[in-house]
Amino acid sequence: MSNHNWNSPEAAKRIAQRHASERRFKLLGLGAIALSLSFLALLLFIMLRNGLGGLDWAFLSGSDSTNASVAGIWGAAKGSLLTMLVTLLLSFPMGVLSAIYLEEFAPRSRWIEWVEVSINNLAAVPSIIFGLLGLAVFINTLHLPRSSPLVGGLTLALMTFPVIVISGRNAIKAVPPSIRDAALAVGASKVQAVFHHVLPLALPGILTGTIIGMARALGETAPLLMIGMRAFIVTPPGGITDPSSVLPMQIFLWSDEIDKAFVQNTSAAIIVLLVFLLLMNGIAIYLRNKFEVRW
Amino acid sequence: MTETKLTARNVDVWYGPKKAIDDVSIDIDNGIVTAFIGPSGCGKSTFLRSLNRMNDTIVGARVTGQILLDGEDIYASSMDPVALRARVGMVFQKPNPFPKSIYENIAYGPRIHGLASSKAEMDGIIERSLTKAGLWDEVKDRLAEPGTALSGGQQQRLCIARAIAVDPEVILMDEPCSALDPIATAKIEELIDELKDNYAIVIVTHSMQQAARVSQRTAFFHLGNLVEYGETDQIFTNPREEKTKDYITGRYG
Amino acid sequence: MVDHTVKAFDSEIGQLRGLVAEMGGLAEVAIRDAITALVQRDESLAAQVVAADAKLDALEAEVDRLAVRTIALRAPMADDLRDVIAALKISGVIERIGDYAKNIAKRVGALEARTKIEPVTLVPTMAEIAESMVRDVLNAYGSRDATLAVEVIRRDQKLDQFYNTLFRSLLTHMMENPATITSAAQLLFIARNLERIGDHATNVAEMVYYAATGEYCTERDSQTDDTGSLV
Repeated sequence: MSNHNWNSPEAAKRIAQRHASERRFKLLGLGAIALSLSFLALLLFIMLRNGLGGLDWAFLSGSDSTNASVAGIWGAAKGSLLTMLVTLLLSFPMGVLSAIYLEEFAPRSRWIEWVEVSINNLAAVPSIIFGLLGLAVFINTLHLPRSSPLVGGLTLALMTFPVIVISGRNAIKAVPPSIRDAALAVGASKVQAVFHHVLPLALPGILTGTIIGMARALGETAPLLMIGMRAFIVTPPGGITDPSSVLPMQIFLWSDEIDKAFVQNTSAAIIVLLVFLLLMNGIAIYLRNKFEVRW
Repeated sequence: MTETKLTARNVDVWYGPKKAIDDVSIDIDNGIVTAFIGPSGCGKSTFLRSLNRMNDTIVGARVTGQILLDGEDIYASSMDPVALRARVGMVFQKPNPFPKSIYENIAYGPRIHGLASSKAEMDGIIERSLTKAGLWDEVKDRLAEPGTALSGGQQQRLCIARAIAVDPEVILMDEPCSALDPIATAKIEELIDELKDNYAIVIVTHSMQQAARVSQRTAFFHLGNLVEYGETDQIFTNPREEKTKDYITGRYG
Repeated sequence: MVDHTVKAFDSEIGQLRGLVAEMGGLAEVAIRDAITALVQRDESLAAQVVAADAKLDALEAEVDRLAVRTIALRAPMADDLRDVIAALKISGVIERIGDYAKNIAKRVGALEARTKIEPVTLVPTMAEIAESMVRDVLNAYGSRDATLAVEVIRRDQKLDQFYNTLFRSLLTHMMENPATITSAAQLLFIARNLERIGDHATNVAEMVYYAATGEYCTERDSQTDDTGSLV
């Protein structure tokens, strides 16, 4: 027999209070989501209203121009694509291999702890610092072509690398030790166990981290400002060493124009950028689901 | 015809500053099942893992003393732990098949050790291993299905087949039936009884009844020490040590 | 001795041992009363002994049931297992001891009141030895005393010697006084029963030894019984 009287008025009042606080919290949460979503919806609405009219084939295939009605997005878009390619090709292998080394092979020592702390801090460094670094090292010291996707990609790769390492390490940490044990117990070497078993299971997490890093890089303006990608380019870049611009840079430049006609272009460019981001996220989700192993 | 397969002499195992195994000497024979019993934290699993150098994977683990497999010191620098683990296999408490197909689960070990030179040979190894593990009839038509889709008992038999596939000499089992229901447990025990003819089997178990059913020799561990080691029926009907008796009659604690 | 972690196990073993001790006590009383009834030719006492045997049978069934239950439910090991097996076997043996006492009591009525047979004076002493063997072996069981058990086994020799002497003197008496053959024959059986009680007490002692030490007692192998070669 319980010692409490669950039918007493005190008990009923207490239970009612608990139900009430639960309802309050649910409403609070709902309100928070509604508020933030409404801001985003407002933003989207304004962009669509301003820019949808300007989205035509001429806009999408044309390059930048001083004449607002002729100016198109293709030059910046191609520049973004090339820059992202360089970023990906550099940061992904470096980031994944570093994550694997730090998680699986590195001995526990002071030196390694320093490395870990440094990488974690790098992820929080303001992006403009990376731009300064790019300017000093890639352009002034190594004399790589200014305002090219090569330099832009290199700079953004440095920025994305810590993000990939951190998410990669978390993904590898999440693989249960039982899988490693099972591989080692049949006589696999450490390297075999990691590459045949741990990495495939960690891949969805690594891919997610990579996409997050890339999406952030796609929208970066400040570091690219420092390395000079703010120039007025009329022809789309031919290769990664040609001078070019990127989408967010183009948006910034157009928004700076005094000519009111560029407002439509700016909004249209923003829509293109958003579509780009949605596409990247879509690819991320697709790849993640494809590689997700049910276990 | 029981010859000694594994010999341990004055083995200590340390986890950092903490001593987990204290001066254990024991002979494990071929063709029989040896059970390690003892209360939680007595070191039986630790000692088991040092028999195939799985303790190497734990940071701060240190093994001193001598452990010989057919006369060779397994901790000598000339002994490659990778090759050792193909000769001394291990099955774990929670079934841990690879998240791959049943075929791939079994094929992985032979592949990395180069035990099959053609697909036909590999198929043969797969069939033999699954048959020895008593699983062939149940899965022969669905080798491409993921190993994780099997029931708990089947998964554990898959793990046993995986261990057998690399043709080991010793099979170590760390509480293999803890996570299984009684029927699956009985099937595994029957399997162990069949396997002992060809391998030296060492099983760590929490259940004294299981040790009594399954083993021919039993070793009782307590706080890192080997308290008593002898024929199973002698240990359970007339143990020599007071501590052994208290543990098996439920007077422990 | 440390208690079992599961207290119910302790109480079940205790119950089992208590039942065996109770049976032993009843058996002792049965032997004593049967011999008293014999010596005093008391037929009502003899009838009491015969009736009391039913209780012994009931207790044996109880021990059977409890032992099987303990084995099924507790899976006893080591000394617990030997205790339970010993209790099972000892209860059967004590039940037979009781049967022998009952048998002695039954023969009281068959003895002729007026017949005087000298060898009959040996019987109470012989009974005393048998009774002491039963008492001591049950004490040995209660205290798990292997030494006492071995001593009881040795005492059986004395009982056998008593039996040999009684056998010979009864034979002589029967040859010299053929009129007393009926009564003398009854006495032969009674003596035989006492000797059998001693043997059974020895059986119990061996089981007590096994339960206490886990080894088989070899004491009996060194003893000799030459009653089979008597003329």
